[in-house]
Amino acid sequence: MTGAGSLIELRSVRAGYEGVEVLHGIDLAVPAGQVLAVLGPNGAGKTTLLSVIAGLSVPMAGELCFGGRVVNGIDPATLAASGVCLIPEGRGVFANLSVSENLWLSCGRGHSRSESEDRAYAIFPRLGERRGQLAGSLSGGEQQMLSLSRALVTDPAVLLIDELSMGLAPLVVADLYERIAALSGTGMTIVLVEQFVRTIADIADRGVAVVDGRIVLDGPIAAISPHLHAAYFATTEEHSP
Amino acid sequence: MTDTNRKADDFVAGLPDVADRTRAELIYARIGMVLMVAGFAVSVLAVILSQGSDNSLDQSTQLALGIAGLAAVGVGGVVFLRYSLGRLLRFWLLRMLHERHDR
Repeated sequence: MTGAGSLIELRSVRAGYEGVEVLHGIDLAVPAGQVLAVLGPNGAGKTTLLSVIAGLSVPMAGELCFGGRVVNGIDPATLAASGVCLIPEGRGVFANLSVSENLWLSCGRGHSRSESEDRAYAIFPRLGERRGQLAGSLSGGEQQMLSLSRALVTDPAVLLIDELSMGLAPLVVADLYERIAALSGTGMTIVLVEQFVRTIADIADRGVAVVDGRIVLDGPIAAISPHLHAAYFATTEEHSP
Repeated sequence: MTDTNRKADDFVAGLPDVADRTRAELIYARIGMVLMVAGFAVSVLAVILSQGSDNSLDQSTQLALGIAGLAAVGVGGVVFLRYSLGRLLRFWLLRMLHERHDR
C-alpha cells in the first residue's frame, strides 16, 4: 500500500486561520520511515503545516493524504488514536498533573498505565525519579523529555515535533535529538520543525525550507544548507539547491 | 515487507473512512432532530386530546402518550447533541484546558 508511495502527502494545500491564508499551495510527499526537517524563519507557516498534518487545521483547498487516502476534515482525535502524534511547541504537558499522571494520559493505544510508565522511565530514567512531581515544576528539559516520552510510549506511525529545541540548553537539545535519531530506524515517520538547521543536520534525511507559506527549498540537508540564508531573507524568490 | 512498510500499512489501514463517518454523524443528528420534533408534536397532541375527553380511561392513554412524547424529546435531544454539538463542546473544553495551561 505505502511501500512504493508516500505515507504523508499534501497536494496543493492552502490553509490558515479565520480566513487568513498562511500556506499558499504546499505540495509535499514524505515516504514512510523518513525523517523530514521543516525549516524556516518565524511566521513562515511551519507550525501551520504541522497542524494540517495532525488534522488540527483543515485545508481551505487541496488535499491531505495518508497512504494515498484523502483524509481532509478527519477528527484530530481519530488521527491521534490511529497513530499520528504531535508534540506541540511549548511542550504540551499538563502542568498541574504529576509526571505519572501525564504518562497515564498517553496510554490510550493498547498500553496499560504501568506499561506506559515502564517504557517512559526506561527511555528517560530521570522522569522515573520525578514520577510524583508536578509537571509544571520540572525544568524545561525535563518537561520536553516528558512530552517526548508521552509520544514515544504510544509507538506512533507518524511523529510530528514542533521546535523541540525552543528555550532549552544546547546539551539538553543534543540529548533529546539523540533519542529521536535512535527512533529513525524503527519505521516511524518523523517530521521535525526547526528554525536552526545545525540542530537537526545529523538526524534528518531530508529538509524543506518554508518561507512565506511556500516551500522554497527541498532536498538533502547538506544540499540545501548553503542556500538557507538567502532563502530566509529573499522572501518570494525561487531557490534551488 | 520491512518494519517501516508494515507500520505504515497498519496505520493507513486503521484510518477510518472520513466520508462514511461524516455521513453517519449527519444521519444520527437528523434522527435526533426528528425524534425531538415528533416527540414534542405527540405530547402536544396528547394534551389537546385529553382536554377534549371526559373518559378517564382515554385520559390515561393520552397521559401515557404525552409521557412517551416527552421521552422521545429527551432521547432525541441526547442523540442530536452527541452527533452535532458534541464536537463543538469537545473543542470548547480543549480550548479551555489550553488557555488554563498557558496561564
